[in-house]
Amino acid sequence: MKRFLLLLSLPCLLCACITEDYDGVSTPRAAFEALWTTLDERYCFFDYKQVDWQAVHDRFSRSITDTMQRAALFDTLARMTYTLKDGHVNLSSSMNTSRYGAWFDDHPMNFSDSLLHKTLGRAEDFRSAGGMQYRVLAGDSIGYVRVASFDTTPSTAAMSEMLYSFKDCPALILDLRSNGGGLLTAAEALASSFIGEHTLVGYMQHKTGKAHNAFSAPEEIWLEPSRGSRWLRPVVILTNRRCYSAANAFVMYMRTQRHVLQVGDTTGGGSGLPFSSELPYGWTIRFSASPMLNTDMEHTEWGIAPHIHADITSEDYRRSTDTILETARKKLHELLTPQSNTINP
Amino acid sequence: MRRIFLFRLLLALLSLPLPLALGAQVQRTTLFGIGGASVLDTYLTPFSYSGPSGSVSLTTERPAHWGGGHVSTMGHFSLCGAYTESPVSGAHIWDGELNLAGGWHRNWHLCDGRLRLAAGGLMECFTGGSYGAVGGNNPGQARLGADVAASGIAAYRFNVKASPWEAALRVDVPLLGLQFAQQYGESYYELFHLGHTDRNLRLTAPWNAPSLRLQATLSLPVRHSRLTFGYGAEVRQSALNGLRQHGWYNQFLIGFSRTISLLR
Repeated sequence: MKRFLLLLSLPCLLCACITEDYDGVSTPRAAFEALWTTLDERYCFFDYKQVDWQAVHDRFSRSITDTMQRAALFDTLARMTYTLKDGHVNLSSSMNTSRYGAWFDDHPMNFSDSLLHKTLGRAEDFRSAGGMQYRVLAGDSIGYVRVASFDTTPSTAAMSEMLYSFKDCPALILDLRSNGGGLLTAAEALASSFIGEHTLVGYMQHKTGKAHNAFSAPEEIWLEPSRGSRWLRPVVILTNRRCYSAANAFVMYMRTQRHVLQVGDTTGGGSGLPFSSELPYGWTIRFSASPMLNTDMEHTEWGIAPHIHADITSEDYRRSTDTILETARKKLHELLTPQSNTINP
Repeated sequence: MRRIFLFRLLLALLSLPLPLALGAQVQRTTLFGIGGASVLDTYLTPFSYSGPSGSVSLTTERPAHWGGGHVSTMGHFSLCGAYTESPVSGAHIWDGELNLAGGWHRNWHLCDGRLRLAAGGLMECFTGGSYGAVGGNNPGQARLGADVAASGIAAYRFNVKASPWEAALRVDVPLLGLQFAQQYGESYYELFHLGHTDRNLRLTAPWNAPSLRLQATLSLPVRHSRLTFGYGAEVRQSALNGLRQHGWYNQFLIGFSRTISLLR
């Protein structure tokens, strides 16, 4: 009997509780430590950006007091996240969502609704489907597609219809300016309409542990050509600093193609797939967790430089001239020959 | 008059024999559970969520065709779910798990047959997951696995006013298994969309997945069945690939057992 009970209880002795790190108590110190630790263990660009996160802790820890107001605490924690210089790092509460914006605020806007309206024309002048607005540019034979975000995935039918409407066009301009991203799968879907074969478009890795340098080996990202229509004629992508996240990934995918040219400003970057976690006070933190690399195994976190740099100056705005669009048009007309579909320098 | 009839009927039912001696009898126990749960998954949030839970389980015990009458087979099915809330916000996580198990027990009958002790093993497989709205690219976590568990039963029969009651304790402890585990910072986009795998199948044992199923029940005869009630604990835990999970279900159980005699 005793032996049986011992046998019965032995496995129970092997059991141990697996518990949480935080007890759910919300204090300024608890929120600070939880935020710092979450990023310390899970943020993916410390080494790449050469951020001394412990020094950041020591610097901001001095500002945390038990009596500080929540708004002040939020501002302090937000400033701490800004040291990462990452648009994917956002502290959210019911009072505010912090966002680091120097990656676009310190650069020309290179886009305006007025210029877009001038290009697309009145509502009845362009088509709108699958999250895209498109038309053949007025007074030209070049197709123009405005992709404002990747929040929705365009259907194969919508993409095929769009490309078919440009069947008589020798080239296409994809305007991605101020596209802040969205779904990676949407970026893939659109990019698949511009590749002709199974294509390696980049690499992706993820953290395998808490250490700042604990990463998996980069694994390949392949794109399959769309099952619908494909566009293999010349394409120019227009970019500015506000092309971010999934839009940055789209540019990275498209830059593998020899019939694609990028004109405008460097993209904003944002190559880390963001995760989210919870903090005391019910606040949440979003952060870059899984970096994507280009086919040369380089980070694109800081953005992708264009083949041809162009900015819209104040004088251009006054004259209602979209310098980036005009640069793209001019380059296409210079480079296009009836037989050519390779414009990538 | 009607009350007297019901009272006599109840007395007659209480005198029904216990299914303790397995012999050629099949015992089926259906239990419904209601209680609380604590859910932790550090892939989703560093906090333990807690909230109400419910479950249903079906356990069948029957004599094996071998073992000289000392061996019984057991089949177990359970489905449990919980709706839990964050301790720091109004966020919720849904948690659920389906468990199927089957195995054998060696039985010993002691104390003039009033005490049955059984020890054996179960093959278990389970699937489930947690889902919440906290994370954008990491909103949920799936669970899938199989293991071999040690299982023990102690059942004691006693009479209360000539009515045969039975107190039973059952403990199942997974000892060795395989379990799907997300890598520490791996996204479902990588795993399921890109097909990137990274040590996603892990060996489990009590030191990295200390888990336990415990049922302490009391049953008494009511009509042709036995009313069974008691306490149930479902402790599912793992610490794999740097991610910690737990699902602690504590429940009040109530249900019924039926004994079917096999005529061969």
